[in-house]
Amino acid sequence: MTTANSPTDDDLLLAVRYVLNECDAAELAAFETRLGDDPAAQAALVEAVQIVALLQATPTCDELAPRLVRSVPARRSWQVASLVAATLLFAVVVVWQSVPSTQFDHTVVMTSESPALAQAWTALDPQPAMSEDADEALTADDSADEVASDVPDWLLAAVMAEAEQGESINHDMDLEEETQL
Amino acid sequence: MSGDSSNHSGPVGNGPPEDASRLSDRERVALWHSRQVQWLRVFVFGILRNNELVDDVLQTVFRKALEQGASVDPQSVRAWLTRVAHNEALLLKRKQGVDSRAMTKIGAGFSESDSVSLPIDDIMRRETAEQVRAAVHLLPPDQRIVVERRIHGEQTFAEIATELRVPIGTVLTRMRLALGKLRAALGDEGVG
Repeated sequence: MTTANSPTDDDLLLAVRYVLNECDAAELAAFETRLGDDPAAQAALVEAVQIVALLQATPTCDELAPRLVRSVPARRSWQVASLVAATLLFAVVVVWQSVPSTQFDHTVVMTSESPALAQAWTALDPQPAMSEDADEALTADDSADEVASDVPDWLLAAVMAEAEQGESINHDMDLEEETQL
Repeated sequence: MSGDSSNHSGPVGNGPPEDASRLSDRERVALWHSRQVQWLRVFVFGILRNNELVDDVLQTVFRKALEQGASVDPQSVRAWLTRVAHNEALLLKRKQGVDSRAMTKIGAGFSESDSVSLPIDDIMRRETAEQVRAAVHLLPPDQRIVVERRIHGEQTFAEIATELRVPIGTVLTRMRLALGKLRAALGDEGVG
Protein backbone atom coordinates (compact mmCIF):
# COMPACT_ATOMS: atom_id res chain seq x y z
CA MET A 1 0.00 0.00 0.00
CA THR A 2 2.73 2.45 0.87
CA THR A 3 5.38 3.15 -1.67
CA ALA A 4 7.65 6.05 -2.34
CA ASN A 5 4.97 7.56 -4.55
CA SER A 6 2.05 6.64 -2.37
CA PRO A 7 -0.09 9.69 -1.72
CA THR A 8 -0.59 11.00 1.78
CA ASP A 9 -4.06 11.23 3.25
CA ASP A 10 -3.93 14.98 2.66
CA ASP A 11 -3.18 14.36 -1.02
CA LEU A 12 -6.04 11.93 -1.19
CA LEU A 13 -8.45 14.37 0.43
CA LEU A 14 -7.37 17.07 -2.01
CA ALA A 15 -7.86 14.68 -4.91
CA VAL A 16 -11.31 13.68 -3.67
CA ARG A 17 -12.26 17.33 -3.39
CA TYR A 18 -10.92 17.83 -6.93
CA VAL A 19 -12.92 14.89 -8.25
CA LEU A 20 -16.04 16.10 -6.45
CA ASN A 21 -15.44 19.60 -7.79
CA GLU A 22 -15.01 21.15 -4.38
CA CYS A 23 -11.71 22.92 -5.04
CA ASP A 24 -11.59 26.64 -5.58
CA ALA A 25 -9.90 27.98 -8.72
CA ALA A 26 -6.48 28.34 -7.13
CA GLU A 27 -6.49 24.87 -5.62
CA LEU A 28 -7.73 23.40 -8.88
CA ALA A 29 -5.00 25.05 -10.92
CA ALA A 30 -2.29 24.07 -8.46
CA PHE A 31 -3.44 20.48 -8.29
CA GLU A 32 -3.71 20.14 -12.07
CA THR A 33 -0.17 21.46 -12.37
CA ARG A 34 1.04 18.88 -9.86
CA LEU A 35 -0.71 16.14 -11.82
CA GLY A 36 1.75 16.65 -14.67
CA ASP A 37 4.87 15.52 -12.86
CA ASP A 38 4.07 14.56 -9.28
CA PRO A 39 3.57 10.79 -8.99
CA ALA A 40 1.97 11.19 -5.56
CA ALA A 41 -0.63 13.58 -6.94
CA GLN A 42 -1.24 11.29 -9.91
CA ALA A 43 -1.70 8.32 -7.64
CA ALA A 44 -3.95 10.37 -5.35
CA LEU A 45 -6.20 11.23 -8.28
CA VAL A 46 -6.44 7.61 -9.38
CA GLU A 47 -7.22 6.52 -5.82
CA ALA A 48 -9.78 9.26 -5.40
CA VAL A 49 -11.61 8.26 -8.58
CA GLN A 50 -11.61 4.64 -7.49
CA ILE A 51 -12.79 5.30 -3.94
CA VAL A 52 -15.55 7.66 -5.04
CA ALA A 53 -16.63 5.21 -7.74
CA LEU A 54 -16.70 2.32 -5.30
CA LEU A 55 -18.64 4.30 -2.74
CA GLN A 56 -21.13 5.59 -5.28
CA ALA A 57 -21.67 2.13 -6.70
CA THR A 58 -22.27 0.68 -3.25
CA PRO A 59 -25.21 2.27 -1.49
CA THR A 60 -25.28 1.59 2.19
CA CYS A 61 -28.35 0.96 4.31
CA ASP A 62 -27.80 4.10 6.36
CA GLU A 63 -27.96 6.34 3.35
CA LEU A 64 -31.05 4.71 1.91
CA ALA A 65 -33.19 5.60 4.90
CA PRO A 66 -32.95 9.39 4.55
CA ARG A 67 -33.40 9.02 0.79
CA LEU A 68 -36.63 7.16 1.31
CA VAL A 69 -37.81 9.76 3.79
CA ARG A 70 -36.91 12.56 1.44
CA SER A 71 -38.65 10.81 -1.44
CA VAL A 72 -42.03 10.95 0.31
CA PRO A 73 -43.77 14.16 -0.77
CA ALA A 74 -45.15 16.31 1.99
CA ARG A 75 -48.67 16.07 0.62
CA ARG A 76 -48.58 12.33 1.18
CA SER A 77 -47.71 12.62 4.82
CA TRP A 78 -51.37 12.13 5.83
CA GLN A 79 -51.41 8.92 3.84
CA VAL A 80 -48.35 7.70 5.69
CA ALA A 81 -49.96 8.65 8.99
CA SER A 82 -53.12 6.76 8.01
CA LEU A 83 -51.06 3.74 7.08
CA VAL A 84 -49.24 3.84 10.39
CA ALA A 85 -52.54 4.17 12.27
CA ALA A 86 -54.04 1.25 10.37
CA THR A 87 -50.97 -0.84 11.07
CA LEU A 88 -51.16 -0.04 14.77
CA LEU A 89 -54.86 -0.91 14.83
CA PHE A 90 -54.14 -4.20 13.11
CA ALA A 91 -51.38 -4.90 15.60
CA VAL A 92 -53.74 -4.23 18.50
CA VAL A 93 -56.31 -6.64 17.04
CA VAL A 94 -53.68 -9.30 16.54
CA VAL A 95 -52.38 -8.89 20.07
CA TRP A 96 -55.93 -8.94 21.38
CA GLN A 97 -56.54 -12.23 19.60
CA SER A 98 -53.32 -13.75 20.77
CA VAL A 99 -54.00 -13.13 24.45
CA PRO A 100 -54.78 -16.47 26.15
CA SER A 101 -58.50 -17.05 26.42
CA THR A 102 -58.21 -17.75 30.15
CA GLN A 103 -57.86 -14.01 30.71
CA PHE A 104 -61.31 -13.31 29.30
CA ASP A 105 -64.61 -14.62 30.46
CA HIS A 106 -66.24 -15.71 27.24
CA THR A 107 -69.29 -16.97 29.03
CA VAL A 108 -70.08 -13.44 30.06
CA VAL A 109 -70.01 -12.37 26.46
CA MET A 110 -72.08 -15.29 25.35
CA THR A 111 -74.76 -14.49 27.88
CA SER A 112 -74.70 -10.78 27.22
CA GLU A 113 -77.61 -8.89 25.76
CA SER A 114 -75.93 -8.58 22.34
CA PRO A 115 -75.95 -11.90 20.49
CA ALA A 116 -74.33 -10.30 17.45
CA LEU A 117 -71.38 -9.17 19.49
CA ALA A 118 -71.24 -12.56 21.07
CA GLN A 119 -71.15 -14.21 17.67
CA ALA A 120 -68.43 -11.85 16.52
CA TRP A 121 -66.42 -12.53 19.61
CA THR A 122 -66.87 -16.25 19.08
CA ALA A 123 -65.82 -15.92 15.47
CA LEU A 124 -62.67 -14.09 16.51
CA ASP A 125 -61.87 -16.70 19.08
CA PRO A 126 -59.95 -19.55 17.48
CA GLN A 127 -61.38 -21.94 20.05
CA PRO A 128 -65.15 -22.11 20.26
CA ALA A 129 -66.69 -20.88 23.46
CA MET A 130 -67.62 -23.65 25.83
CA SER A 131 -71.07 -24.28 27.09
CA GLU A 132 -71.76 -24.39 30.79
CA ASP A 133 -72.16 -28.14 30.54
CA ALA A 134 -68.79 -28.49 28.94
CA ASP A 135 -67.31 -26.28 31.62
CA GLU A 136 -68.76 -28.48 34.28
CA ALA A 137 -67.51 -31.60 32.57
CA LEU A 138 -64.06 -30.18 32.24
CA THR A 139 -64.09 -28.99 35.80
CA ALA A 140 -65.04 -32.46 36.90
CA ASP A 141 -62.33 -34.03 34.80
CA ASP A 142 -59.64 -31.59 35.65
CA SER A 143 -56.97 -33.14 37.73
CA ALA A 144 -54.39 -31.25 39.74
CA ASP A 145 -51.70 -32.36 37.34
CA GLU A 146 -53.48 -30.94 34.31
CA VAL A 147 -53.94 -27.60 36.03
CA ALA A 148 -50.31 -27.60 37.00
CA SER A 149 -49.31 -28.31 33.43
CA ASP A 150 -51.35 -25.34 32.15
CA VAL A 151 -50.25 -22.86 34.78
CA PRO A 152 -46.61 -21.85 35.00
CA ASP A 153 -44.79 -22.86 38.15
CA TRP A 154 -43.80 -19.28 38.92
CA LEU A 155 -47.44 -18.22 38.82
CA LEU A 156 -48.50 -21.00 41.15
CA ALA A 157 -45.69 -20.13 43.56
CA ALA A 158 -46.68 -16.48 43.49
CA VAL A 159 -50.35 -17.24 44.06
CA MET A 160 -49.57 -19.63 46.90
CA ALA A 161 -47.24 -17.12 48.49
CA GLU A 162 -49.89 -14.45 48.15
CA ALA A 163 -52.51 -16.76 49.60
CA GLU A 164 -50.29 -17.63 52.53
CA GLN A 165 -49.57 -13.97 53.06
CA GLY A 166 -53.30 -13.23 52.89
CA GLU A 167 -54.07 -15.96 55.40
CA SER A 168 -51.40 -14.61 57.67
CA ILE A 169 -52.83 -11.10 57.40
CA ASN A 170 -56.34 -12.41 58.03
CA HIS A 171 -55.07 -14.34 61.01
CA ASP A 172 -53.42 -11.21 62.37
CA MET A 173 -56.58 -9.21 61.80
CA ASP A 174 -58.62 -11.87 63.60
CA LEU A 175 -56.25 -11.70 66.51
CA GLU A 176 -56.54 -7.91 66.58
CA GLU A 177 -60.33 -8.12 66.50
CA GLU A 178 -60.34 -10.67 69.30
CA THR A 179 -58.01 -8.46 71.32
CA GLN A 180 -60.25 -5.46 70.78
CA LEU A 181 -63.27 -7.45 71.81
CA MET B 1 -5.27 0.65 -4.64
CA SER B 2 -1.78 1.95 -4.41
CA GLY B 3 -0.54 4.58 -6.77
CA ASP B 4 2.90 3.42 -7.60
CA SER B 5 3.86 5.09 -10.81
CA SER B 6 6.98 3.09 -11.36
CA ASN B 7 7.09 0.36 -13.91
CA HIS B 8 7.67 -2.66 -11.75
CA SER B 9 5.30 -5.57 -11.55
CA GLY B 10 1.79 -5.01 -10.26
CA PRO B 11 -1.78 -6.27 -10.55
CA VAL B 12 -2.78 -4.38 -13.66
CA GLY B 13 -0.91 -2.16 -16.00
CA ASN B 14 2.49 -2.73 -14.50
CA GLY B 15 5.07 -5.21 -15.46
CA PRO B 16 8.80 -5.76 -15.55
CA PRO B 17 10.67 -3.44 -17.87
CA GLU B 18 11.01 -5.13 -21.16
CA ASP B 19 13.95 -5.11 -23.54
CA ALA B 20 12.56 -2.59 -26.01
CA SER B 21 15.25 -3.28 -28.51
CA ARG B 22 13.87 -6.74 -29.07
CA LEU B 23 10.34 -5.49 -29.81
CA SER B 24 8.95 -3.72 -32.81
CA ASP B 25 7.31 -0.34 -32.21
CA ARG B 26 3.86 -1.87 -32.48
CA GLU B 27 4.69 -4.72 -30.12
CA ARG B 28 6.16 -2.29 -27.60
CA VAL B 29 3.12 -0.02 -27.67
CA ALA B 30 0.78 -3.02 -27.48
CA LEU B 31 2.65 -4.13 -24.36
CA TRP B 32 2.48 -0.69 -22.80
CA HIS B 33 -1.20 -0.49 -23.63
CA SER B 34 -1.96 -3.81 -21.96
CA ARG B 35 -0.08 -2.80 -18.84
CA GLN B 36 -0.96 0.87 -18.48
CA VAL B 37 -4.29 1.56 -20.12
CA GLN B 38 -6.43 0.99 -17.04
CA TRP B 39 -4.32 3.29 -14.90
CA LEU B 40 -4.35 5.92 -17.62
CA ARG B 41 -8.11 5.59 -18.15
CA VAL B 42 -8.85 6.23 -14.48
CA PHE B 43 -6.31 9.04 -14.32
CA VAL B 44 -7.71 10.84 -17.37
CA PHE B 45 -11.27 10.21 -16.23
CA GLY B 46 -10.38 11.98 -12.99
CA ILE B 47 -9.59 15.07 -15.03
CA LEU B 48 -12.28 14.92 -17.72
CA ARG B 49 -15.11 12.78 -16.29
CA ASN B 50 -16.26 11.92 -19.76
CA ASN B 51 -15.58 8.54 -21.29
CA GLU B 52 -15.69 9.73 -24.89
CA LEU B 53 -13.08 12.37 -24.15
CA VAL B 54 -11.07 9.80 -22.21
CA ASP B 55 -11.04 7.55 -25.29
CA ASP B 56 -9.88 10.46 -27.44
CA VAL B 57 -7.04 11.21 -25.05
CA LEU B 58 -5.93 7.59 -24.81
CA GLN B 59 -5.92 7.28 -28.59
CA THR B 60 -3.65 10.31 -28.82
CA VAL B 61 -1.39 9.05 -26.02
CA PHE B 62 -0.73 5.71 -27.68
CA ARG B 63 -0.33 7.29 -31.09
CA LYS B 64 2.42 9.43 -29.60
CA ALA B 65 3.87 6.36 -27.93
CA LEU B 66 4.08 4.76 -31.32
CA GLU B 67 5.81 7.83 -32.73
CA GLN B 68 8.15 8.69 -29.87
CA GLY B 69 8.20 5.64 -27.64
CA ALA B 70 11.55 4.31 -28.81
CA SER B 71 13.32 7.02 -26.87
CA VAL B 72 11.42 6.45 -23.63
CA ASP B 73 13.34 5.01 -20.70
CA PRO B 74 11.81 1.57 -20.02
CA GLN B 75 11.94 2.34 -16.29
CA SER B 76 9.72 5.41 -16.75
CA VAL B 77 7.07 4.22 -19.15
CA ARG B 78 4.16 4.95 -16.85
CA ALA B 79 5.53 8.37 -15.91
CA TRP B 80 5.97 9.23 -19.57
CA LEU B 81 2.53 8.01 -20.61
CA THR B 82 0.88 9.75 -17.64
CA ARG B 83 2.60 13.02 -18.46
CA VAL B 84 1.44 12.83 -22.07
CA ALA B 85 -2.07 11.91 -20.95
CA HIS B 86 -2.11 14.80 -18.49
CA ASN B 87 -1.08 17.29 -21.15
CA GLU B 88 -3.62 15.97 -23.65
CA ALA B 89 -6.40 15.88 -21.05
CA LEU B 90 -5.87 19.48 -19.97
CA LEU B 91 -5.57 20.56 -23.60
CA LEU B 92 -8.83 18.87 -24.46
CA LYS B 93 -10.47 20.15 -21.31
CA ARG B 94 -9.73 23.73 -22.30
CA LYS B 95 -10.50 23.12 -25.95
CA GLN B 96 -13.82 21.43 -25.25
CA GLY B 97 -14.69 23.82 -22.49
CA VAL B 98 -15.28 21.06 -20.00
CA ASP B 99 -16.69 23.27 -17.33
CA SER B 100 -17.41 22.81 -13.67
CA ARG B 101 -21.03 21.89 -14.35
CA ALA B 102 -20.01 18.79 -16.23
CA MET B 103 -17.46 17.98 -13.57
CA THR B 104 -20.02 18.04 -10.81
CA LYS B 105 -21.82 15.21 -12.55
CA ILE B 106 -19.30 12.85 -11.13
CA GLY B 107 -21.02 13.42 -7.82
CA ALA B 108 -24.22 12.06 -9.34
CA GLY B 109 -22.65 8.68 -9.89
CA PHE B 110 -20.21 7.06 -12.21
CA SER B 111 -22.63 4.39 -13.21
CA GLU B 112 -25.77 6.43 -13.67
CA SER B 113 -24.95 8.44 -16.76
CA ASP B 114 -23.20 7.10 -19.81
CA SER B 115 -21.57 10.40 -20.54
CA VAL B 116 -19.74 10.52 -17.24
CA SER B 117 -19.60 6.91 -16.22
CA LEU B 118 -16.38 5.12 -15.55
CA PRO B 119 -16.64 1.45 -16.42
CA ILE B 120 -17.05 0.40 -12.85
CA ASP B 121 -16.31 -3.22 -13.70
CA ASP B 122 -12.76 -2.14 -14.38
CA ILE B 123 -12.44 -1.14 -10.77
CA MET B 124 -14.90 -3.19 -8.86
CA ARG B 125 -15.02 -6.92 -8.70
CA ARG B 126 -18.28 -8.47 -7.59
CA GLU B 127 -17.07 -9.30 -4.15
CA THR B 128 -15.88 -5.76 -3.65
CA ALA B 129 -19.35 -4.35 -3.03
CA GLU B 130 -19.64 -6.21 0.24
CA GLN B 131 -16.10 -5.21 1.12
CA VAL B 132 -16.89 -1.53 0.54
CA ARG B 133 -20.12 -1.76 2.51
CA ALA B 134 -18.31 -3.39 5.41
CA ALA B 135 -15.52 -0.82 5.29
CA VAL B 136 -18.02 2.03 5.45
CA HIS B 137 -19.88 0.48 8.34
CA LEU B 138 -16.64 0.06 10.26
CA LEU B 139 -16.03 3.80 10.15
CA PRO B 140 -16.74 5.78 13.32
CA PRO B 141 -20.22 7.32 13.08
CA ASP B 142 -18.99 10.90 12.75
CA GLN B 143 -16.80 9.93 9.79
CA ARG B 144 -19.42 7.70 8.21
CA ILE B 145 -21.97 10.50 8.29
CA VAL B 146 -19.62 12.77 6.37
CA VAL B 147 -18.85 10.08 3.77
CA GLU B 148 -22.47 9.15 3.23
CA ARG B 149 -23.75 12.70 3.08
CA ARG B 150 -21.02 13.75 0.66
CA ILE B 151 -21.11 10.72 -1.60
CA HIS B 152 -24.74 9.67 -1.47
CA GLY B 153 -26.47 12.72 -0.08
CA GLU B 154 -24.65 14.90 -2.62
CA GLN B 155 -24.14 17.60 -0.04
CA THR B 156 -21.05 19.75 -0.22
CA PHE B 157 -18.59 19.69 2.66
CA ALA B 158 -19.73 23.20 3.55
CA GLU B 159 -23.36 22.12 3.68
CA ILE B 160 -22.47 19.15 5.84
CA ALA B 161 -20.54 21.43 8.20
CA THR B 162 -23.52 23.74 8.47
CA GLU B 163 -25.94 20.94 9.17
CA LEU B 164 -23.68 19.27 11.71
CA ARG B 165 -22.82 22.65 13.24
CA VAL B 166 -19.09 22.01 13.13
CA PRO B 167 -16.31 23.90 11.36
CA ILE B 168 -15.66 22.83 7.78
CA GLY B 169 -12.14 21.91 8.84
CA THR B 170 -13.63 19.32 11.16
CA VAL B 171 -15.68 17.87 8.33
CA LEU B 172 -12.63 17.69 6.08
CA THR B 173 -10.60 16.08 8.85
CA ARG B 174 -13.29 13.45 9.30
CA MET B 175 -13.32 12.85 5.56
CA ARG B 176 -9.54 12.56 5.50
CA LEU B 177 -9.55 10.06 8.34
CA ALA B 178 -12.35 8.10 6.67
CA LEU B 179 -10.48 8.02 3.37
CA GLY B 180 -7.38 6.75 5.11
CA LYS B 181 -9.36 3.92 6.65
CA LEU B 182 -11.20 3.13 3.43
CA ARG B 183 -8.03 2.97 1.35
CA ALA B 184 -6.50 0.67 3.94
CA ALA B 185 -9.61 -1.52 4.05
CA LEU B 186 -9.98 -1.71 0.29
CA GLY B 187 -6.31 -2.57 -0.05
CA ASP B 188 -5.46 -4.04 -3.41
CA GLU B 189 -8.71 -3.18 -5.17
CA GLY B 190 -8.26 -0.97 -8.16
CA VAL B 191 -5.93 -0.49 -11.02
CA GLY B 192 -2.74 -0.10 -9.07
